[in-house]
Amino acid sequence: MKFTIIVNNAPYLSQSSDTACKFAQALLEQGHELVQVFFYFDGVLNALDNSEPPQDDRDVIENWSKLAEENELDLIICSSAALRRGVSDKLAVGFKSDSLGRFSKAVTLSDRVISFGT
Amino acid sequence: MEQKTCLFINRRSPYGSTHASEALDMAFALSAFEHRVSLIFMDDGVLQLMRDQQTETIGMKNMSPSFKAWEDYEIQHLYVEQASLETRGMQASDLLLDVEIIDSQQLAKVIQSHQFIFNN
Amino acid sequence: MPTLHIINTSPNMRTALQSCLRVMHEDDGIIFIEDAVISVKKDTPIAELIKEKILTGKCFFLKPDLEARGIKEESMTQGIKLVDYNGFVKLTIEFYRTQTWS
Repeated sequence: MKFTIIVNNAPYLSQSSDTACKFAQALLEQGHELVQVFFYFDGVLNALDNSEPPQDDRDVIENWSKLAEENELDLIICSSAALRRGVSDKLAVGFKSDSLGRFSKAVTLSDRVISFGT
Repeated sequence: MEQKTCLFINRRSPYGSTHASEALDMAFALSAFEHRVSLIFMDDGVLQLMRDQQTETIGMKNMSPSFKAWEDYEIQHLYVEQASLETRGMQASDLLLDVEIIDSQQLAKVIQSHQFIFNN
Repeated sequence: MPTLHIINTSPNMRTALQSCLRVMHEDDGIIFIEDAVISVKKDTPIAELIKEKILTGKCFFLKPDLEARGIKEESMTQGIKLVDYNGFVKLTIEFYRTQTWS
């Protein structure tokens, strides 16, 4: 089965990004395909590359980067939402900025589109 | 290219957060890229369609002209939940567009007729 | 073609659950995740609200979120179903579409 996941909330203030990442990991372990993880609204803040959480906390952004590296995932942040929030050139590992058109293509290819947050 | 049926369920008031305007951006984009998109307004989302919105003083972009362009973006249907209007002391004449006002059971059927649901 | 409704906010703080119940079809399921898992507690107004849905066997709760919040099994309403992240993924496949409510 082919999935697209949407992450709508920023990391840390909300649990949504953590849940989405665990959900993504579970579906990949079950052998499903993750067409795209699309970050929208404040979700684009998941791509910030200079985040340094305290050592006794989880690193939400690094969790995404690792998952992307291990599974060659497409982590796409919405370029217009990112521009508005000052998230531009330097993105965390695995993230790319692209248009809603790129997201629309993922929707086309997917059997399920699951939203986390807002 | 396979078209999908996409339904946006808008439950938030405009201006207090960016949900309403960025959700509309996404809905219009999916429609422009050939998906079949409809919008439902329920809960405080019905306020997005209120007449006479004047946003100059709060310094934010008025969303009303965007909604009026819905046909240009080939949005399929605009639905408003009757119960949400009633709860807020509103009626059809308070809205800036002609929309399809439906009850909660009809809304359940609309949800069932779409593949993908987007919540905002 | 039933829907899986995903609720992620507490019904004591937000109206997501109430709105979901108003427009959901009888064959639909609900999964409570994150702050919504407080809905699991028995003998509460929320338990009363979802009583009928529980009887259909289609009320699911994300176990890691219950455990994180220290909610014990003996305080939960009977008839609810607990799932882990794998079970959550399987539910999104069993049901035809998902709808998230915040």
